[in-house]
Amino acid sequence: MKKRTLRLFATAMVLSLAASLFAGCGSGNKQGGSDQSQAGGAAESTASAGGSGAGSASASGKDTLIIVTANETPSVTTNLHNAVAGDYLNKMTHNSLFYMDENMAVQPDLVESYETPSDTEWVFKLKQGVKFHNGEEMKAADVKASLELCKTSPDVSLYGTSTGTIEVIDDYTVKITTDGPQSGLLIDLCHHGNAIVPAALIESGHDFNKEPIGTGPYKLTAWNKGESLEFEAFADYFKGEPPIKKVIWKIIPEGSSRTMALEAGEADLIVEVENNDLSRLMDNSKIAVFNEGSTSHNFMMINNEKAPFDNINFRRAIDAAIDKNAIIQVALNGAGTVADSMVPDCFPGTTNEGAPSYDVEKAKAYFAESGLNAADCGFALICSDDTKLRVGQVIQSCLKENLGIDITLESMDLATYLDVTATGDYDAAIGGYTANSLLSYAQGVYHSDSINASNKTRTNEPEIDALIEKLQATIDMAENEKVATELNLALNDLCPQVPLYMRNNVRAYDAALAGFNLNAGGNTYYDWMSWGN
Amino acid sequence: MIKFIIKRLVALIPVLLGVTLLVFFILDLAPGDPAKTILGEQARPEDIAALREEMGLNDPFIVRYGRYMFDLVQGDLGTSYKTRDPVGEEVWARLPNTITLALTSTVVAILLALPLGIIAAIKQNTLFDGISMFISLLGISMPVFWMGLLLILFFSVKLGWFPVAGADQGIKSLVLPSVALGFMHMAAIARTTRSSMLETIRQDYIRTVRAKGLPEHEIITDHALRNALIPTTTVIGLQIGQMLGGSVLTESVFAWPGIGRYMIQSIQGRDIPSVMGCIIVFAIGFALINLLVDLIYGFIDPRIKAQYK
Repeated sequence: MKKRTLRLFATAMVLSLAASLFAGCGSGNKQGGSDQSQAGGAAESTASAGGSGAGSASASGKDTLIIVTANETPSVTTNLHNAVAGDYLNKMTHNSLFYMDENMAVQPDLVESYETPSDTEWVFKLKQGVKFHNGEEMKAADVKASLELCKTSPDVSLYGTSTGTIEVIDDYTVKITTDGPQSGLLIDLCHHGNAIVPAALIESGHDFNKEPIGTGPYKLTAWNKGESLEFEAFADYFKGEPPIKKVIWKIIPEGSSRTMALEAGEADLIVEVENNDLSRLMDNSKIAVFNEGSTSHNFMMINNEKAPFDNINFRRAIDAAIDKNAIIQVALNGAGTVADSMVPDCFPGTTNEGAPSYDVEKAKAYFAESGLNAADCGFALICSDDTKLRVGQVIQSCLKENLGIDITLESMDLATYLDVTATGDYDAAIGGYTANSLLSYAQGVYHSDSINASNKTRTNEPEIDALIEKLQATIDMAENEKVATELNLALNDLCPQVPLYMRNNVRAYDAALAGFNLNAGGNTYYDWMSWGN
Repeated sequence: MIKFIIKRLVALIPVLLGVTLLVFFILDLAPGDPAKTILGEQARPEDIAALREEMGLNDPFIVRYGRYMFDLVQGDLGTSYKTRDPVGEEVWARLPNTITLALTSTVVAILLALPLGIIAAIKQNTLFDGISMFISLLGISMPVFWMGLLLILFFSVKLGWFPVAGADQGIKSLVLPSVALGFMHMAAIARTTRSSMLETIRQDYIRTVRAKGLPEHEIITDHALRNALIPTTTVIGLQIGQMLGGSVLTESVFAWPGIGRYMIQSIQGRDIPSVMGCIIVFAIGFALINLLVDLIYGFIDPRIKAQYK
């Protein structure tokens, strides 16, 4: 009998030990099972959990920055994704011919100078002595190959339409001849899809996802799938080696866990701050919070081809009936600003003039003018995540209270939402669009060429199309601004959607981190940051 | 015994064929276009068309399924639509983490559940029975993400004993997710153990050994527990199977880089090859665990072992 007891006990012990050993193997194997980009680069672990904590970084002589983010990029290959999560990383490892500075102004990056002999010709002089991570010098042939790669990749070819014909004049000179004047060319050249990579590697079929070779301030050293990406400073970076030597991006999907990682000193910077934790983080003296406007325009998209949305006065009535301030409080915890204009109001030439704003009396007047009966105006509003559902609840309440219209909220996963809204098989949905220029926004959201894709309101107005094309063809910046205003006024009058809010860019970081920067487009330049001083 | 194992492994082949066909078919019927999902809000019609062509989505269902199966029998799980990386690599990078978490959570669950279940049965209708069943009720009814956040708040933020998230600190990283997940699964095991023990200790042969004057602890460990363990083993096997694919919330809260979260993201992105890869791994895992459970029955009860021919 005793033997049996002993045997049972021994079996339990062996099982426990085996499990523990397995656990040890699991963590130890992590690097081995991961997708490592450069041999030898991944073995070191620099995670500082339990280390310095927020606020004490400079005192500890820290040289690592740990960033936590909600989403893992699908790819780090510049031409194989259009994901925001990937864009952040590409900005660390690559440069483009131009970049957008903290004020969203286009600045030369790999370009020394440029001239425009005519409206369709652009000649770029490249910086000399710029090194790729593999030690090769960046030359005009690399620029030509990279820009042409962008044109042929479905994920980013949107940013390759303006580049026309690309010619190599000499090793450091590239000429682009556009198909007609293209006012958006320089902005397109800032996009990661047009980042410069070595021509020889493109030709040889190099796997950039395993080893992304660029000219950027950091080199990818390890990608632990589902967990983290590790970078080290590039000593030969043409703008000088970055002050922070190691950067680790950790993927933490849960918002509260990200906040607690920062509070516990396991992370130095949160990219997506949980709205509910915002006030708690702002009260913490060791943590700094960045909370400023962005280019992210969020709206209730409405299918203009369907009744009652084909009635302009009905569109204006629902726009004026929605309390957008309430939406910002309920859904964003205050981290946003009211949007009335049909386009993001942060670009030159944009205006709120003529756009309906929250005014219940006006809403009732528009509704009376529409000649519609509230009982016939109900519709289904698609909400594809929790924030959008909260937005939808405020809209539902406002429309019922102010106009007597009953709407139903329909939860839908992102893939289905993208499908039904692109094909026009819907009434209304909460959506958003982020662009780095008015032209890019207007082309995507309102041009009839984008119907069945990103023009989800299915706006099909020749006048609007003509104004967008005029905006594209107007190179002179002063004139361009005037066209932008003209387009904006026409859209505000047409009211093809219901603008709701401009979402703020919110980041929380260790207060000891110096040089933090973030532009309205969401770009941060990590090589500008340092610990202390 | 070997014959039995081989028979069970051979039976796995039609199961896998059925699973692949069913899942491929369901994903094909599901609304949502992988190309539109990958390209996002800013997609242009021509880009969507080009990407669909590149991914072979314009081919008929039977051609796509046939192509998938042709690659699969050669050991190729296909290429992810989203990452363009081989699915095999993506799955293998995460699988050890998932297995590790499932096993350690099971150990936690067993270590908590068996004593609770056994003592609750022995001390039926006492205060201890009430407390044990209350703890197991707590485990089954407390959402695992909430439990996880509480553990992080106390043990990571307040005490600083364990990391908040990630899997980069070995066993230290494993403790909180294992406790959170194990506590949840403990409930079912404890309840099954209790009811099974109650049934067993009322059997005539237990009354006989008790009449023979054997000490109570020997009666429980040597005579009752062994018979009571059969239903418990079944539940443990099922729980491990569930943990392989169903620990998505735990993985999210603790940023544990496992396969569950990867599969959910793949489903959301309509990344059919990745979903298929995960499902195949889960199906094989589940079948193997069931086989293992059947073999363990044999060790617990020699009468069952005699039937393995």
